[in-house]
Amino acid sequence: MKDSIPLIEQKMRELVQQWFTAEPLVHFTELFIAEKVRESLKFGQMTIVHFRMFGGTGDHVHQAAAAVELFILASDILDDLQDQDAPAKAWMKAPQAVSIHVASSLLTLSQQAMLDCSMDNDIRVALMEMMNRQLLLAANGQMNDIMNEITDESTYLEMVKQKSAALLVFACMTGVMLAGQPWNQTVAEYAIEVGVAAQLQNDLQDLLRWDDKSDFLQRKLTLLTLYLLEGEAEEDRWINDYFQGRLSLEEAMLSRERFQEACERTGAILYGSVMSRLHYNRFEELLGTIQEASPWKATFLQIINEEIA
Amino acid sequence: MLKETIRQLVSGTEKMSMAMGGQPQLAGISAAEQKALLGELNNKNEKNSGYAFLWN
Repeated sequence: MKDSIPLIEQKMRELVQQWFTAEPLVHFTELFIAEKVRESLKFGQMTIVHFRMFGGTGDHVHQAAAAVELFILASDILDDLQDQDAPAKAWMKAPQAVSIHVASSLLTLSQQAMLDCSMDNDIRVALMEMMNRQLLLAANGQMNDIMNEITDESTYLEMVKQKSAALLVFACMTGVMLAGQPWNQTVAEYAIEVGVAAQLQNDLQDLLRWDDKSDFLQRKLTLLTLYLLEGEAEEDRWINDYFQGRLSLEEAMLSRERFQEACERTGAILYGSVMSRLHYNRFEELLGTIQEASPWKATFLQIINEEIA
Repeated sequence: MLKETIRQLVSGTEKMSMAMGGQPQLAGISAAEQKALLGELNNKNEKNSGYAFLWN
């Protein structure tokens, strides 16, 4: 499936050349695409694997995969602009007005690319309807994430299902529907499970890092910080104090080892790992029920588990 | 309930050793939660992440 990466990239670039005529828009978009390709094009690969899995044939799937990746790129840019925590990214080095404009242009380009990826009107309408539904779900989840007002675990998991998992459903279902099949509920369910598992892995990484992306230093409410905040040990009261603003960032910054020790001792890390594995196991279980998946299972799992740059 | 089980497990070395040795006190959690917990404890025991799931 790795051999499809250059084809998705090529299609993304062709779409930019076809629809963007302003030279700076082309220039910055190509710069951002190059950065995205260096990271990963997992979503597009998922589109292709589902297309093949459900009997699709033909090369037009690369355009659909490119449409998916153009949306994911726009969403990455907007997410980093909102969080202001990825200074090394090309879109964070470019003038902010430029990055906002490229991202909003990519949103429309991804829609146009999706619309043009099939000659069959029924498939086009079904694809566009599904695309918009999933992207609107993700938009709602992203807003709730930005507000950081999660109060409990179930609200958090619901937000993750919207924010992250809806995009995975979008990527997988694009392949299914482009192959001429209707919405597949099992695919939707396993895509949600893998999306939740992935987000919990990210949360684990972001819990332990000690920079601008640290969920603790940013006072970000996640499944894992909620777990820590619910702890009753007197020695960990300072963590609550920090989240409540009774302890400053400067003071908290001095407590890296103490924080990491608390994460280990309280079981926060174990809890995050177990919850992620729980959702991953459920994903594998659901995947096993799809007969069409059988010949493609190994490829699909390889895409998911591949470490990215 | 899974959360409480994990809090109990990490609160005592003996309980954790029993769990890592495959004799966990896991009353009150579902079979799926038990499978996930034992999978993670096994990884921890072997210091080996067979579950190399990574995504950013």
